Amino acid sequence: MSLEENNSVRNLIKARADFFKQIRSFFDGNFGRRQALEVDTPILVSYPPNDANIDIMQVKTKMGDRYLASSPEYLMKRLLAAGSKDIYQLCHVYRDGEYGERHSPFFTMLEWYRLDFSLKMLLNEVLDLIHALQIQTHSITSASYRDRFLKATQLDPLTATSSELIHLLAPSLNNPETLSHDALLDAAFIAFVEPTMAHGTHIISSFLPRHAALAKIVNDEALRFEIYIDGIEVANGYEELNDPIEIKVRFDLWNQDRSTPLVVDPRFLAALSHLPATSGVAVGIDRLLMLHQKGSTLASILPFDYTNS
Amino acid sequence: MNDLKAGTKVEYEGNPFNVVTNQFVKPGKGQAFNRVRIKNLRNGKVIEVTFKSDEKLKLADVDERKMRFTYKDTDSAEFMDDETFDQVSIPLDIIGEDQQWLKEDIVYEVVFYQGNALTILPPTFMNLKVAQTHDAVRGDTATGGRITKEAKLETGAMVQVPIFIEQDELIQIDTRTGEYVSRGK
Repeated sequence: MSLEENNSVRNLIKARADFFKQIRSFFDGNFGRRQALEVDTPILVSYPPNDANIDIMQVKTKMGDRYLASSPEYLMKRLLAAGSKDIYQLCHVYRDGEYGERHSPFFTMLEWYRLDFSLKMLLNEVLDLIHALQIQTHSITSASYRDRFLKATQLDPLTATSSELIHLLAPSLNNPETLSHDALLDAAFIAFVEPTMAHGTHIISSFLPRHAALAKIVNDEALRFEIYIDGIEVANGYEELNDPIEIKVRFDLWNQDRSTPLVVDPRFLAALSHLPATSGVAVGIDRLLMLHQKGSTLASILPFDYTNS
Repeated sequence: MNDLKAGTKVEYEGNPFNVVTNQFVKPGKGQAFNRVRIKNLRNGKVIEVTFKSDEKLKLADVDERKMRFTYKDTDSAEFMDDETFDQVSIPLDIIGEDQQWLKEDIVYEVVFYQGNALTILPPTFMNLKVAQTHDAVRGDTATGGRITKEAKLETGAMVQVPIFIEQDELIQIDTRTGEYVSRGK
């Protein structure tokens, strides 16, 4: 077992069980908070989610090819479109090839959606949950991706050219000229911006339009936030796009950059157009538990990591 | 990239490197990278390079053989493989500072890159004779709470030894740091 010596298995599974209990009680309609219903959507799904930077695990079955969900987003949005109202889900999700001290090819995700919540309201609720889980947040800062990037690199990420980014990164990045503009922005983000968030709690309060995924875009800003605690990204929230025309524009735009069009679950696409006004967030529960236990690796708080499951 | 473990020998920009650490980094919903610290096997310098996770590095053609040092010439040192009796002559400027640990009949780890000797690794602990030292005098230096004096070893290395060590005594040295460990056995 890859457990740290000071964490006996019993303590570890108890801390985890307490987390689950706290989370369920958080959504139970106490303390003036609206109740959200727990749902458990299938993780084995028939269409691969579309996310350029997440490799999906494919499963061969007697019924044909299926996929392990990298997030419960698609089925939860179908529930929202069908009238579920506020819902939350605690589940395992799968991402191929992602392993390291703070990454695991499977992890426990908490995802929830609040009807009629603005992004800001949802952000405050996530911070409430983090406090309810007894995780300290201190010296909180909040700034947009654009402002953080500008401050750390002296380049405006909205207008910086690929060659400016290559010049910035060249000394320590292998073959920078082979990277796409998006990948160069990501490389600059991890090399220059992430180190400025290594200690304390930092909120990225909005993102560039190119990072919107399925978030609304208002005034050249994607309504999406992330929370970093002590350098670890723990939450990713969106004010969800639900305008049928804009959705079509967004998918067409993505398809322009691809040789073969996206295969999108038509039922998901149909649901998006019926989505009520909502904001949703995904939270990495193992990472929060790691912060709670003051561990430095996921392996130190997982009874079974991917090397021994 | 992500399966490259510490200790793997890789080729980067035409030079052999040893992987020191390999960290998987991925911003939320972004491209995956590996931040890798690698040590140049020619000069020992450690550099940090970021690779896209789907890039591949070639494994370096590096192998290590145990070889016995036989004698030193004006500008090279001669080694012999005990099993194959192969003899290899290694230029002294490749051996560099480790010349101070060359003792006849001792077996060294010789690292080859593409068939050429790249470096030698002396045993971590060596028993060596004190060739020259003086009796303790006022002014000997105190390090770590004990008083030491300078000694020249049979291999030419200059080390600090406790004041009770005398000429011709055998002492054990940690070749990684050049520090005195104990009296020799």
